[in-house]
Amino acid sequence: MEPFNIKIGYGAKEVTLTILPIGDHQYKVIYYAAVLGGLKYDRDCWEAIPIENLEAGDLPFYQHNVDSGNVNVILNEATVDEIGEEIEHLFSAEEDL
Amino acid sequence: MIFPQMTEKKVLKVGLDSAAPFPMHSDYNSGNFEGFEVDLLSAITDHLGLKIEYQVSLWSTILEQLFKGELDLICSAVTITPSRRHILEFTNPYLHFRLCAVINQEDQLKGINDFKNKTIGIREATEAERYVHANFPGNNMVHAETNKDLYRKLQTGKIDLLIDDSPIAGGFLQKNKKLKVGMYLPGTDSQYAIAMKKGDIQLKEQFDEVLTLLKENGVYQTIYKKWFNDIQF
Repeated sequence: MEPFNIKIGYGAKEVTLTILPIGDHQYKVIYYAAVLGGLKYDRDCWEAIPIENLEAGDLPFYQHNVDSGNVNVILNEATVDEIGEEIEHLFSAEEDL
Repeated sequence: MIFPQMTEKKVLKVGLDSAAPFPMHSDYNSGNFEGFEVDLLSAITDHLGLKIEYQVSLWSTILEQLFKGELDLICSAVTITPSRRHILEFTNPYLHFRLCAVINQEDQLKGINDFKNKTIGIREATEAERYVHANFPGNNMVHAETNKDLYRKLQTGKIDLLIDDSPIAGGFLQKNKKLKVGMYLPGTDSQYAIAMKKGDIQLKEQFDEVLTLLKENGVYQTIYKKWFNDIQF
């Protein structure tokens, strides 16, 4: 499956994330060309994949720099749920997840 | 009255990996900055009437800088991959290669089965890392931030073998006769290309046209022979 982009609200801002399917209902979340984290769809809910269980692969891990001006996106439960909902919006059939 | 030339060349900000992937390019701050990509980029930009301003960055942040437009392009042994292609623009490839396994001279690798129980060294966030995780998930892996560090680990026996892009391995082996390529890895055909900001189609098309021209007029082949005459891919 090809990577795709989603937009989510984060605080007062909107951020664009790239979602990279990695198989078995698991996805990497790419932010500013780096791996921010991952999430998986398991037992009807979305869960974060701990960063130590992810390999960066051909992209580096995201390291937030306070001087960068980037929104400091943290994959907490609410954000993971929002990303999951956006992914679900993009797939009409449950078997695609 | 003769007026001085008023038109100034456009300056391209070009990103380089701080862990120089020689012979693609050497360390920019070494006082002897050279390499295949240096000559190739110079030929392309000369043709287009562009100036180059190099900026050295860590691999961990260089893609972000390009993504945000702080760099115009990266010409630093960037392999085209599907996920990178989704977030960046790539020119047509300028070098085809494979991944290879580098071992000590006294060791042997007859095939993939010989990788069993071996400690494998890889550089972080590279195609080699993705390959090893996908194909040898059960092996002990040692990650290094730079190639220099990775090759040192092999020489000091901290790893049994390392996986690297064959042109870069060739460059290291030219200087170190105690190491050799054990085997080229099947199914790892890869390409380097110049990475640009997503959507920078105009610059990509200009570069693609000149790359084609340099291959037609023999300039590319001259640069290739200069740097890869003694290196096998």
